[in-house]
Amino acid sequence: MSSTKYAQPLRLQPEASRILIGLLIAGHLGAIAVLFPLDLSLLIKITIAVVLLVSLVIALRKQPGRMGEGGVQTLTWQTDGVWVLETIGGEKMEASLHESTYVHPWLVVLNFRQENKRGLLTFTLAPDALDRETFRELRVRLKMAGNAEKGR
Amino acid sequence: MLELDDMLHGFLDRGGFDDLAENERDQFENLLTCHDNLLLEYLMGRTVPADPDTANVVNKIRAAAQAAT
Repeated sequence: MSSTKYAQPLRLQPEASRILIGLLIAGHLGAIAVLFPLDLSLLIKITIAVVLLVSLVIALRKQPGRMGEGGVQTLTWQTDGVWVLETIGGEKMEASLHESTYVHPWLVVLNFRQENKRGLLTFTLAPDALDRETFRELRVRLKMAGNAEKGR
Repeated sequence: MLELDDMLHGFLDRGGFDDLAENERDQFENLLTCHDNLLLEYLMGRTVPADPDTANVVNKIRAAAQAAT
């Protein structure tokens, strides 16, 4: 999905999204809140609540501006269509966009596959994670890449 | 701006980008770097880009949007 050629690279430095952080907190705390009226033993409820809290902490730590997903801070879509992910420590790694990447005007989920590595690196971007123009350019480019892929 | 998404994505979906020449594709990408308000002015026809090549691509996007309505 990332083999389309471009005239100029697109560099993304996402910031922590208040929208996503709010949704993460509301979703997790909401789940904990509905857990307690359920007809389960207190031990099971506490166990599930702890798991949910751990999940919340992990999800928040993965937000840009904190540790970021895989420690990645900068994502560059190069002119040759290859993505380069750069960690906070300066390490660069190439990745290819996975077909499960999702594009919507209010949400972009970038899924990357790295060579010789299992699993996907996922970056969930709400509109407030990037400036408006960069977010729009990203959506249009992803659409172009998706259309090019369908045309093959 | 959803209007921009509608016009640009509609243009791509209708194969407009595929029909562009190589230099026009570069112009299309340059257009994407414009500020939202300026791009909206262009695509609504309220402002004409100074560069004739850019204006040509804008006209194609506008024509595709009008053909779809």
